[in-house]
Amino acid sequence: MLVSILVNFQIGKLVYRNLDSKQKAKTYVIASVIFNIALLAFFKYFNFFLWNISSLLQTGTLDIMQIALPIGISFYTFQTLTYPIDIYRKETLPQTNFMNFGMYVTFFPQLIAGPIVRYRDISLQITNRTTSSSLFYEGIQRFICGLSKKVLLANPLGSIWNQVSSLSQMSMLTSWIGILAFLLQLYYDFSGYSDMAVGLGKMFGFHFPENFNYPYISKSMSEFWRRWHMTLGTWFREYVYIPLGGNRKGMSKTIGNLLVVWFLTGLWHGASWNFVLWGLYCGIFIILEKYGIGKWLHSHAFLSRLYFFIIIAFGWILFACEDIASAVSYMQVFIGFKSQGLMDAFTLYLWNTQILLIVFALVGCTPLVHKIYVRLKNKSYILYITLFITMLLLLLCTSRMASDIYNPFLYFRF
Amino acid sequence: MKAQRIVQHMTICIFLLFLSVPLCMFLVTPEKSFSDLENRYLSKMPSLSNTSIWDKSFQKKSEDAFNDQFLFRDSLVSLNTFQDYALGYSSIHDVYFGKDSYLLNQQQRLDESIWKQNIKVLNTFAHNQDIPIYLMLVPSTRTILENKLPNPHYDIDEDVIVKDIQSSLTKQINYVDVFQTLRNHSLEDIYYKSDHHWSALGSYYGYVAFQKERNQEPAPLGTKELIKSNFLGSLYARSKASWYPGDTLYAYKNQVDVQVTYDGLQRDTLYIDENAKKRDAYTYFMDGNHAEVNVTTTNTQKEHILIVRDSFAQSFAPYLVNDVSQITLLDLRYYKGNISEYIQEHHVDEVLFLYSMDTFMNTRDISTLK
Repeated sequence: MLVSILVNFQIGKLVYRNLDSKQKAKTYVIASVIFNIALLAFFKYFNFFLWNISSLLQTGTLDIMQIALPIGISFYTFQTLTYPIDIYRKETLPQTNFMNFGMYVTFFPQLIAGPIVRYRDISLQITNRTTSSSLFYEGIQRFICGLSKKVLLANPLGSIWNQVSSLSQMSMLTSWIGILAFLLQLYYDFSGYSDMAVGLGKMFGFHFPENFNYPYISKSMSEFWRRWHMTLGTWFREYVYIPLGGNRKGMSKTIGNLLVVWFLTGLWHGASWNFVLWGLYCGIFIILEKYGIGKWLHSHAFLSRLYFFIIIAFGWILFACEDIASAVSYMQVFIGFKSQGLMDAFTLYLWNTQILLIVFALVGCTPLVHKIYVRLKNKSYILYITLFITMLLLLLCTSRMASDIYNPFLYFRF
Repeated sequence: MKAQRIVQHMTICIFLLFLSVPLCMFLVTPEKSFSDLENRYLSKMPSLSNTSIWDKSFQKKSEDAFNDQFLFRDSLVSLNTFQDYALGYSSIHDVYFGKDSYLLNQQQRLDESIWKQNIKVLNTFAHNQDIPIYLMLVPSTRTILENKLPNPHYDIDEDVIVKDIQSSLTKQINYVDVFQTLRNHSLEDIYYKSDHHWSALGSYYGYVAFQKERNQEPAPLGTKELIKSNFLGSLYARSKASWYPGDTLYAYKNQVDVQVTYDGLQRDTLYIDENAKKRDAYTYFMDGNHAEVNVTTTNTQKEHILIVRDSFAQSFAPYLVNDVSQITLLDLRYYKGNISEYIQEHHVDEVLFLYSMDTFMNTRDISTLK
């Protein structure tokens, strides 16, 4: 990480100094891209690469190297990449103080699970920022909101998924409940971390970009990706899709570009083929929507949400399962082949015990709570209610963590 | 606007206190070394040294210590249990929130290969012996007291499994059916409300069934004695469902002189008074876990019985003192010797395998039996 900071800091300087000669600057940018990607590739994808080679050549077992995955490497690599590129594009000036640049890369709130902050979004805040008690207050609220998402919703939802995925046989509806729980867990886990990062940022006077905007109320896959992990989507659009030519070079080139972007998006999520497939799965729907059903979806609010929910749930199976084989067998159960009937005693048990949690989680996916809050915002009592709820949530989170039963870290692969 | 500022400052203060007070208390208050409720020693703050920082053990240990020691830990854990209960969960950590103050064991999944392996080993063992071999499997509370289970509940069916077990036993093993016996008495207090064991009364009915299988007359139930009135057992500790009231621990005693050795330690009683004060008061009966316990009675002319067992045997074995001359309890979790040799050396006349269904279905320790 230190190496990464040093190199990027120096390259940033070099790029800036050579901005007059385009050729030279470009070389430096390319060098930095290669360096950063190589770093990521070594730590994250080296074994995956080895494994693929060995199975291709059928040489039997190649020694897998024990490489410890540095925490948050996918996030900070993408962050540092924006630095030389943006200098090259004259979007930002290089940082003169090494410590300041180091702080940008290592700033702990978003290091582990995003949002991916572009250097230019934050360059001014590094040196000029104000902290105030009202900003600190907002930060606390945001942080507790995120903590509650993670501890009160994501973790219990995760234990539903764990129960379901460890079954050797299941009924169709059990698999539905399982993937519903996983889908909600993923959202709450990830957006919970993002909220905590944004909240902590506020406490220190930073304004981070938002990462989620009620993704599950989307009407299409394309809309989903404008609402889900927004900073990653922006990153790929700005630094991959548009440099490749975007949609300006005809339909076939555009489709090609989109496929590249989605292949990479999948790969970014994990060094395994099911993530790649999952990325392409998303890409294919986005292409379909772009060149076909998009308009229709837009005019049918209910049907399009149904369509979206089904395809996203189906897609998450690829994401949730360890490998492609288990994903395929889960999918078979999901659509009713090879399942133990429509439902069984376990389905009923799950349904009856978890329904309240799932309903809470589903309501939380919609802007409903936020709308109520906005409507009541000017009432005087809302302040005290907010205070009460915030403290209650903090207490509940603490009690959950105190019993310390189940606290897996879902995004460790990134 | 003024109100707004006050609330903002209050929030900030509470938040900061929330972060700092437990840490300060942790550093200031004396360390608690043992959690009676959890029945384990708590992690303590490690001493700082150069090596422990580098190998990360300091960080790990101090984190463990903080987790174990922080303020109001027990109340917070209870609050967590209550959250689950309020959310409509019917169990936590595989303990059901049962009706009528009962907490019950839950088991959702089963690795069938374990009991099948256990039976295989048992059959082979019985094949090589020429003394009577008995097997008694004690059902879990939920199997007998089904009406105490909350809704919804979901478990593996012990009745189905025990039928499979029965049908795969060799003829040399005499199966003692206590499922039916206990069902006949299901209106009495045969199980504890806050502990997974059968009560002294339940064990007595097990004893009656066993004597019947041996073709002998069972001794009458002894005098009832109150041992502990607020007994909070293993299920209470696991769930921390603090709104459950716990229950009462009784013993039924017959006056007999015995000599007992607990792993070499000699005592003249089957009942350990000081254990009744502990959280795990069930160990009032024949103490906690021991590899080998020997009971010598005054009847010298009778049999020497060997009980290979789990903890369910502890409230059961005391009833046998009038019927045998010697009782040996071996726990395969700790006893690593050869049982066949033990039988030869000590002239054992009968062997009883006494296990709860829970242990028998889930332990791999029986497979070491020789």
